[in-house]
Amino acid sequence: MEQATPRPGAGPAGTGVLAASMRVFDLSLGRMLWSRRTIFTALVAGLPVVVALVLRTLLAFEVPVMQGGVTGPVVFGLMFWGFVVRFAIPVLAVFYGTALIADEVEDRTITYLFTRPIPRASVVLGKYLAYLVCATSVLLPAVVLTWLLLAPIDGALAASFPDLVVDLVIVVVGFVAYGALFAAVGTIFDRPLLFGLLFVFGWENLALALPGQLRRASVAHYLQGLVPHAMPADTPLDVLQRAMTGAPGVLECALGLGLVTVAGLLIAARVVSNREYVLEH
Amino acid sequence: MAPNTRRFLFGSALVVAAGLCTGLVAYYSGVLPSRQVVRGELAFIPADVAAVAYADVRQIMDSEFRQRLRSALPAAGSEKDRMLEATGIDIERDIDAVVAGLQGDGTPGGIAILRGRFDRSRIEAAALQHGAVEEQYGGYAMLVGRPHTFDDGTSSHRLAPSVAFLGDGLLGLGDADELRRAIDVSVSGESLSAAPDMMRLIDDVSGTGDAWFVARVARMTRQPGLPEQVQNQLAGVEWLAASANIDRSVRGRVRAEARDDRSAEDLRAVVNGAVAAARLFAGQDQRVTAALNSLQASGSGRQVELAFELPPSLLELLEARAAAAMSPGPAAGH
Repeated sequence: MEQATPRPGAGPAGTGVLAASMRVFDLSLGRMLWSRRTIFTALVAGLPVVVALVLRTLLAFEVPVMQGGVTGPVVFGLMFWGFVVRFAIPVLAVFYGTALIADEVEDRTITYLFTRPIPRASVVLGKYLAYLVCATSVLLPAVVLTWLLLAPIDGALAASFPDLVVDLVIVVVGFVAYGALFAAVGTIFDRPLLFGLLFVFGWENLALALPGQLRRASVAHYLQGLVPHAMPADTPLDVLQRAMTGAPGVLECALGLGLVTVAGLLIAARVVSNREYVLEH
Repeated sequence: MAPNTRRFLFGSALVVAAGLCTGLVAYYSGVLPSRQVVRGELAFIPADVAAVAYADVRQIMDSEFRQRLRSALPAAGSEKDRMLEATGIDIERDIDAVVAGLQGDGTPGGIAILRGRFDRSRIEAAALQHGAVEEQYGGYAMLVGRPHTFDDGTSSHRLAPSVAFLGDGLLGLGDADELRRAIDVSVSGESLSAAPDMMRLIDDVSGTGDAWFVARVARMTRQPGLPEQVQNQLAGVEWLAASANIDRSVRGRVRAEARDDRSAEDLRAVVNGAVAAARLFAGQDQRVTAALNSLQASGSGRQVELAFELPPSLLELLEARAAAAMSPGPAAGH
């Protein structure tokens, strides 16, 4: 037996997209925050905090773990670059972004949303805003706690504070861009999670490693261009840094990430507005 | 919004806000005041100096590295006593920070502006004991020492070591004429703030370490006695800036700005060659190897950078050598 959602449309006149989005945001935030997905998010976000705690404990027992010029701010920079930017942000965005609409379809609850007298685009926008609040509210405190634990080790909070502010902005900007991209992916593909993971771990790594302009077709290229931390020399990460020698300027990064965000949200809103969802029992 | 959700978001925002506030307080009470304080001292440094240096004496004196260096090289303590006897200033207790301006161009001298808590009567007693005379210049009290003739091998110079009380907690040391000029430039505005190139580099390095140094290389290399080979190597370098953080170890960064890309490439090749040669001849000592491994040369365009770390283990080597030098040799005559 098949149940068709109401005919696609922009919703009744008089209901503003923004006001409707806020209603959807309000409804979705709680569901999103107290889902099993958030447990995974908390585990991912908590990992650098645990590593920082272990480091502090080892140092408290005078175990020589920081040698060869490695300081707390350097370790924080490495963790931010290697873990937060390259792993946590894209992975969390994939898990949340691709599920914005897909979960409603899978749970067969999308019918209830679409029967409401609101524009369909507001469903996408409201859920996207809920994802942003949910993801940033978990990852931002983790980054701050990691910084508070690591930066004072052979360093100073004062000196590394400007970089922390940039890091926090990067986390938000990363979630904004990746989330919009995967929101679009979630509305277009039948298996969006698989596509998203392939994009993050396959395409992005390949595009960044290959010479030429291919890297411009990845979000990581623009996001990494904003990272303020330097990489130590003579390590595999130095190779990564050298590969990033042609890093884009701030303006190019902002334009690239802005384009991905706007395009992603527009595509997602358009697909959801025009698509007829057929829910199979 | 459910109460649980609201509580979670509030908790999350609280952690972020607490972290940012902590950082903000640390930033404004750490980096910015030190920059503002340094600007106060820089007002007495003439715009045409060849080099400027700064040291957070309090931080350096309290550092673990300095404590260990002192035990490794006990002779360093006698310098402190000599300074106390000659000027009435206790380096370890009286001085918080020092900014020095060097003349270059083969001209000896320069001035040092000291910030700290000074016992004026003790300083005056020490200076007068050494034949200094009191003088008022530009509204500041000075103690002008007896002139000495100084011969650097190429020409002779006449210097009068003097002290100037430049305000609350600020003391100037140097040649009497240099100190009078420092007072003049602080009034006329022809101090370092009128040298934008120098200030650009000072702004870059100030606040990044406990000690820093910025120099116009061309004027520094005209110093008599500098080996010709060094002068040739530095001919293509326009600016030199260095900063160091001194705590358990000494972590530093030296940055050179070459005249053009070609000179920078040559300098990079020299630096890389020197680092490679040092590693080659370092021997088997793990402590020296660790210090050499911390050397990281980098830079692009006209910039050449070298980062380094002198680990505490290097001091163990120094201690061992100092102990070997101090110990009596094998008994003779048996």
